[in-house]
Amino acid sequence: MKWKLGALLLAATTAVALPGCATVAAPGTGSLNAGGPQDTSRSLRIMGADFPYTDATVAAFEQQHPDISVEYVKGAISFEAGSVQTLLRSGSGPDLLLVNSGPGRVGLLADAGLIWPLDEVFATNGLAGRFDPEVVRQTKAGTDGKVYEIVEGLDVFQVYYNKKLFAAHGLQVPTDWRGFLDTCQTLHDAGVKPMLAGARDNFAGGWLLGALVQASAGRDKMSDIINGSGSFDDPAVVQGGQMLADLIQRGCLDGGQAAALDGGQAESAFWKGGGGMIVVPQGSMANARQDGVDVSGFGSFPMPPREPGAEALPTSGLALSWVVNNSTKSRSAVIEWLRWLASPEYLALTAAKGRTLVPAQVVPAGTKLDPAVEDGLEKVAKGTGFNPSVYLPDAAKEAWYQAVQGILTRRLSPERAMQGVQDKLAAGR
Amino acid sequence: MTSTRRTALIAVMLLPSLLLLAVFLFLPLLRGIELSFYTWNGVAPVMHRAWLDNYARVWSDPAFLKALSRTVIWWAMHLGLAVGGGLVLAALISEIRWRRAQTLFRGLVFVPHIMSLAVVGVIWSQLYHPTIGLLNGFLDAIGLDKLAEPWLGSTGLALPAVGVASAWQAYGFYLVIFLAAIQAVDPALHEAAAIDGAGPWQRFRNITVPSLHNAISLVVVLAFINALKGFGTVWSMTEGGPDRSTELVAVYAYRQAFSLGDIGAASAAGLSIAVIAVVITVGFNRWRDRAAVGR
Repeated sequence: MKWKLGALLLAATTAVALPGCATVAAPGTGSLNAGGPQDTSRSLRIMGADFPYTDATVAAFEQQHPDISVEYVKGAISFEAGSVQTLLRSGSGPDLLLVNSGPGRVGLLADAGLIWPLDEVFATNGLAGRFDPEVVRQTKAGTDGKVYEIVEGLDVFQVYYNKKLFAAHGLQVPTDWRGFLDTCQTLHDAGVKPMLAGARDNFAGGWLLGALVQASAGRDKMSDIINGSGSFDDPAVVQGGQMLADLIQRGCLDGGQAAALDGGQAESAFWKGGGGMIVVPQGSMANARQDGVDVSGFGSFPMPPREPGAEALPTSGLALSWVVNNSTKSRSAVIEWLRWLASPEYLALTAAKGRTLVPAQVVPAGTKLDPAVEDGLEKVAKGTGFNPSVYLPDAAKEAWYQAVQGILTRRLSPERAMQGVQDKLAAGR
Repeated sequence: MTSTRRTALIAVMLLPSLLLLAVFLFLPLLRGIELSFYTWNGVAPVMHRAWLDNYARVWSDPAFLKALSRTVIWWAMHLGLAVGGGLVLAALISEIRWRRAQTLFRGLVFVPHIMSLAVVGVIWSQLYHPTIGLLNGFLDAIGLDKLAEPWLGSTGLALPAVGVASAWQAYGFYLVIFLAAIQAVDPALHEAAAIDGAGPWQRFRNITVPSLHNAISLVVVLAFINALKGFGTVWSMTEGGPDRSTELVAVYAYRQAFSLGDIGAASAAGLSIAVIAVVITVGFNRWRDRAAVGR
């Protein structure tokens, strides 16, 4: 009886698993069968992060468009947890989603036909002129050169430092790598933790290594790598990994502690005065200010370059973007929402209600932003390096994060770590 | 009632359960088997048949083999800490003669098991916090600060540290099974042994443990299956890090699916571990049954 049951199960499995065709439709093809966005509904279902300004922006939109009802579902959705892919493939996902930006992530959805190309919407509604041209250029870096995302904001990563600790130990903001290591040494000798990092959940570790690689290889070389004509095993990039190893070797950064903490824990410790420096985006300081932390005793500077005299640049990356479900039934309502996102009123409202991301829009004069966000905006205007994790495809991004953890725990040499990233990048391309 | 009507009645009564099993167990299982034979990134509209390539890739991936060996270590820890801890505590609680105190302790020790794995992860992450954690604080306070470690940041300590947290969450379940079995042991055996001069340890070793043969074998199987599924605590505490040192097979499969977009390999890894679990469980049960017949 048992054998009969086993044989039956095996036969059923074989019948299901191995149909005649070598290529079959994937599960949940709703978006593809819908024939693109339709216009049969005036209600919008939106899913995205819960910003301090979210409720205000939804309310203002509904006031301007009384014929459109909006349901905003708050919650983090991410590629790394699989929720974005699943929602879109289900065929009944929200009309609009706020997701992690960049061709490495959004490009996958675009290639699969799950999201709507927005070039026509941009052209017919004059949206292109409302956004920073460099941001629009970056969003077109996918395989077909079309725009699929409207960027909500950018992150600009710099070294944030504790001014009081620096003053107490007679330290100035370092301008080159040698000076940075000396600053670390002084703090270390005084019993202060020179740097904090939280790499357990990967993101912040990637920010730190990205800043060091930028300080070593420079913007042009990193631009080549991001755009496919350079390599992560370039000696200048490997040197960036070596800079991380040097920080650990010299006691500037406790690798074990950095691997044990997540990004939030490290940031929290830093804003409470638990360390001299940390690499975080502007949003960290803006959030701390909103949480009532006195951030006047903190400042920021770009990671100093390895070569004396070279330009010190912060790194930056697209942070979050709006994408449109290809199976939406609310085409015109979606377009109205996109027009709202690009409007100066939206920007002003978000700025007034606690925006912590650097705007991707052209910012009108007189717009009052958080000082940390304002600083990030100025840095973007002058030019920044790249935060690689935004631009790398899945496997290479994972290898990038593993490179950070491998160097922090001293289990990977910088050479092997960067070679691992390059191998995955080459395979992905 | 005729035989036909009786069969029909049984079928009708079973139908709701069978439907639920079909929807929530058999169909996903069949889908998993199907996915393991295709390459798919989780977003593309089509999947390409890969025959057994996914299985070959997974079983030749050093990361999978390391994850498998970590899972064996994890199972051994789970067996020692959760099952062993549950057995010892069950024996101690059964020795409490004051009924109300026994009920109180029985309830208290079960509390960790009713917590979600995510909550357990958060609690233990804070306990292991390198600077403000209770564990390092305690070591500092008693002058053993040299032993303080970044528990979750060390590639050598992270797996045992998470294993302790996971065992803390799980032992209550095994304890309840053991306690029920202990309470079914004839008290006269203990009384006779006590009259003969046997101490608590001797009674535990020579009466309690042999009497729990069936309960122990059941718990070992459950612990084995639970250990193979080890994911929640690991993911909430370390996400498989640092440097993959806590990456169990379940974490490997999750990472393949969602971080790397390789649904086929993830399904192959998941099904591989399921087959291993079934084979070992069936083998263990057969051995147990034969041993029982031989006794």
